Amino acid sequence: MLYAYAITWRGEPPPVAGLDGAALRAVGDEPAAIVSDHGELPLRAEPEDLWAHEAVVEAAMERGPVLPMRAGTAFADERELLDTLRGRAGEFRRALERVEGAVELGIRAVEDLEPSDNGKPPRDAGPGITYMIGRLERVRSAERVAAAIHEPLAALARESTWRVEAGPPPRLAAAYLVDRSQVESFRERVSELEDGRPISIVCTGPWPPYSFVAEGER
Amino acid sequence: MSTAAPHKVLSGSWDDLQTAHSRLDRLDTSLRRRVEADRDNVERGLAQLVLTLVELLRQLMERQALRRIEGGSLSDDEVERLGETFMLLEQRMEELRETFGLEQEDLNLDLGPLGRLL
Amino acid sequence: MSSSRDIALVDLVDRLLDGGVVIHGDITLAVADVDLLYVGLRALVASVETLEREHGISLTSRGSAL
Repeated sequence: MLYAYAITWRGEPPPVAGLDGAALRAVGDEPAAIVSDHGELPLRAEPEDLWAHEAVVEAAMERGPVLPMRAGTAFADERELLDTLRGRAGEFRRALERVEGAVELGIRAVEDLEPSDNGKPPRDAGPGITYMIGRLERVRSAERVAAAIHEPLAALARESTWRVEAGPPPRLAAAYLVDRSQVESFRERVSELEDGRPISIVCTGPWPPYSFVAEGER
Repeated sequence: MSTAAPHKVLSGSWDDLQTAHSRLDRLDTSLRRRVEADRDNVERGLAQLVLTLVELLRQLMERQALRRIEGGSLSDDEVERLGETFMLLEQRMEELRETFGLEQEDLNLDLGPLGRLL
Repeated sequence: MSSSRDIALVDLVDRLLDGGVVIHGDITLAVADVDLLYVGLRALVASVETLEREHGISLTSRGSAL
């Protein structure tokens, strides 16, 4: 099988080893896929493997835009891979253009609430009302956080996506496609937004554009 | 050869609210499914599809209910009954998921350009 | 307090699980090698979104989950 790491413009594998020390090679051209050959799926759900896989994607990203593959993507043979590359060439090329020169930054943000802030159900409220008010408060909390920080951060990004993660506690989880030259400004903006607000923000990156490979509105 | 995790945290830190461990479990399951295309997985796939649709409807209904509660158009009695029903539904969903060995995250199908379902 | 290794790992796994280019669908339900149900689900959600747009009905709320 051909284990795939990323889609790139040119068929030039980066100068690093693949999983299990396998040699990298490229299949196709404009777009191409970076792969290594194995008898069975080489990726295990272990940090060492995951970071090794990620290292290949990032090495490829140093040479040009990449579309990282979802974990565990493998093809039975070159034919299957080439058919996919050709069949979706337009989509992949457009995506490569969209992400060129940019990296993904991840954000998680939560309101610093007191545990007792679970809405204010009246003292004699039944379990049903308590439940519904709890749900309301959870959604509102995360939406407050989103309102406070998503817009200003999205303004610094080419594209962005956000959602409320269930938690507990519910929190904002967002991803931003940011020009490399804007990463530092973005980081500063995150610090500014955290100052003087009861919000805790974690920012990670830079990542390959995992959240921005698909077409369509965000 | 051990690979050091590159420095990826640009700012902030966290009490781990959802451990890396449970995510690794999910990834492990997802990787196994991709490889083992056997009968059990087809059945679980069907259950996954059905439960995802049920979960979608449950969330839509709950959202509608919350909107109406916020809008103030429901009596306390109605809110109480809605709440109890939704609690029951949530419980039932959990039982159904357990029966098929599915996690909450398994019901969040990726629809490519349309994003995640839930 | 989580180490930054753990925090980074969580974000990496999220991306590997839910992000990236998808070649094979989540559900391997196929008839004659055609992913019928997968395609059907996309069409269902797409039509819900069209309904919302064209008729001003709000059935889903982007970015919020319970």
